[in-house]
Amino acid sequence: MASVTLKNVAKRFGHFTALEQLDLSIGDGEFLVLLGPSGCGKTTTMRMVAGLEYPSSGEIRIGDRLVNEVQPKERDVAMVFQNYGLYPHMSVEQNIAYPLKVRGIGKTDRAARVRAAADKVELGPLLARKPRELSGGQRQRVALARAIVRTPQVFLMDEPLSNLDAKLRVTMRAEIKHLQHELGVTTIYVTHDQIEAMTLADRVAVMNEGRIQQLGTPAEIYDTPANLFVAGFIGSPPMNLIPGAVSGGTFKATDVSVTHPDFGADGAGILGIRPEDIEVVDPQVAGIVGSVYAVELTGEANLVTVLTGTSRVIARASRAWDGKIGDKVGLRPDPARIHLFDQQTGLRIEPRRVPGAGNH
Amino acid sequence: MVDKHLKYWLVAPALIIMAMTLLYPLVAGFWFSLHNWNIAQEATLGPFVGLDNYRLILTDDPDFWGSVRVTGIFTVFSVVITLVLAMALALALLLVGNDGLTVNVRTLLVLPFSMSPALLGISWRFLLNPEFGAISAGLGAIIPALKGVPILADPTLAMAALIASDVWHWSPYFMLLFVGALAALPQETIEAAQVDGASRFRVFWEIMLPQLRPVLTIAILLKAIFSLKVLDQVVTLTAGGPGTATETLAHLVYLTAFRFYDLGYSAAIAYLLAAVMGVLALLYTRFVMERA
Repeated sequence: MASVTLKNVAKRFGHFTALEQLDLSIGDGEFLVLLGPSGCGKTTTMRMVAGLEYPSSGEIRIGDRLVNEVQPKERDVAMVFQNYGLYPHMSVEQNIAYPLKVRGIGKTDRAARVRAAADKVELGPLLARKPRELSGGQRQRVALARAIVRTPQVFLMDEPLSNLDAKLRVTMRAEIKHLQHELGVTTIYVTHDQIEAMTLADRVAVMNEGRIQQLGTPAEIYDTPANLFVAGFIGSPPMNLIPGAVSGGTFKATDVSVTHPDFGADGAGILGIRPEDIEVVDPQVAGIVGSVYAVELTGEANLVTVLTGTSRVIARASRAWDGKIGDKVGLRPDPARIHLFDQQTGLRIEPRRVPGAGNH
Repeated sequence: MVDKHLKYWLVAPALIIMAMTLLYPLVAGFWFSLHNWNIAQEATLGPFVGLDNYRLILTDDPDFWGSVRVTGIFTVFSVVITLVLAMALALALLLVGNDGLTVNVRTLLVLPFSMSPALLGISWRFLLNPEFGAISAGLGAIIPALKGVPILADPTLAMAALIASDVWHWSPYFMLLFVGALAALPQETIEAAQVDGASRFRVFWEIMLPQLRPVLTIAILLKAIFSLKVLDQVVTLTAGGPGTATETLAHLVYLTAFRFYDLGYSAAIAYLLAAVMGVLALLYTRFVMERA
């Protein structure tokens, strides 16, 4: 087990810059999730740690060892691929045993360790099967077993759950979390699914356009997003973002007036409020007023979309809420949980400065 | 409404042409093989002899068995060397990647295949000429013992030259086949093996090659069929010589029919060769159908 450090790492493919200047340090035994939309550079980052790509500049270290152009086989990492990367001509047992076989580990020792790894992911009865005779979830387990059959310095997981159906994804997510906790191996996990990121990670690196936008614990990322990108990317439904201006400690837009002691200097800004931080109230007592545009029952709550000025604002009301489309309503944000962003830079301004914010 | 017999009418012309060019010669050839027929002496089919021709060939014809041996040696070496070389070239092309240079190199590499095998034999004859041939001169420079040696006059060297010319001709074709097959391999299995700790050689040998098995089987069958029926280069390069050192079965059939005018006997040899190739062709079609 080891820490992983990326210092000043850039990656270019011809004229295309996939990553510009990435700094990231992952602690020994940490579960780090790289989260971002497709094309943000998260997979490239992971492939460089695996040795499947070499950085154009900068330094990558596993432990204290500089591995920039070290071949994958010399790095002692294990990887789970998006499409599993199982060897189709080998049985489940041979698949799991392959990393041991190429390391010259004897047959008896090999069999015992394969058995142990297979049992850990409940594959015991399927050892003789070929990958094509397995379901998606079972293939996923084989890929996991192949990764945990030896104790590598680092686990790398590239969207391992994206090919599974929604129900299985939840089960496997818990299994991966449990396994990582049990084995204590440093893990880098790539995903575009924010729920996976929030549930699995010790820390999340939110990436976009070849840069880390914010690095922090799931709670930090959720509670104090460093910029508009992170604010809009994390959360479902996403954070409401209302453009307007601050004047004398009050944020104003059409039909919107929100006062907060931490709103500093006057100027244009974007107000951010998460749906669950908004209470639907009587229009007379609220800073935000509008009419109900749509009501969606999700089961545990009602999502109320309110048309206010030029914006639509979504609020999460209780299940018992019984308004109708067209009703005049007021919205009252929780003052402790409102966000303000700079309209030009998109960066978070007061309230609450964020530790570990993006390096702009 | 579409006439349900229409489909048969549509394929009928093709079937008739196939019947005339394939079925008729097959049947007629077999009929000839049951007769004695020397076309130097008689213009019409000679006396019926039953399976006598076959009996004679199989039990009492050292020329035939010599030719079987020659064809066997030629087939084994040309199949193995062609496919190994083609795979090596395909891997090399893939390793270099897909820049402009590779495309040009690929075009150059394919050129030998665009040549007619008969012309290829003639040009190799010149290239192997001990006095002014380029290959001959090159070989002499590398291996002094071969300096000025008339390669086509030595039984072993002539066979080697015949195999070499065939390898030269066919490698590009199989290289292209392998380039396609290699590029179609799931990249993740290769990367998974690299991360699992396998060396380049092991990745090729234990991960890529087994996944190429269907393509390899098809390539082996195809090349074996091509090798078994080799004729053009034999005629133009060695004429079966020196002696009978490169007398392949197809050449023996050709000689028997058109030098010795023994049509019945020649047809019988041809039928024995066709039987072997028929089995291979059957395996081949079955394999291709299975993959489709």
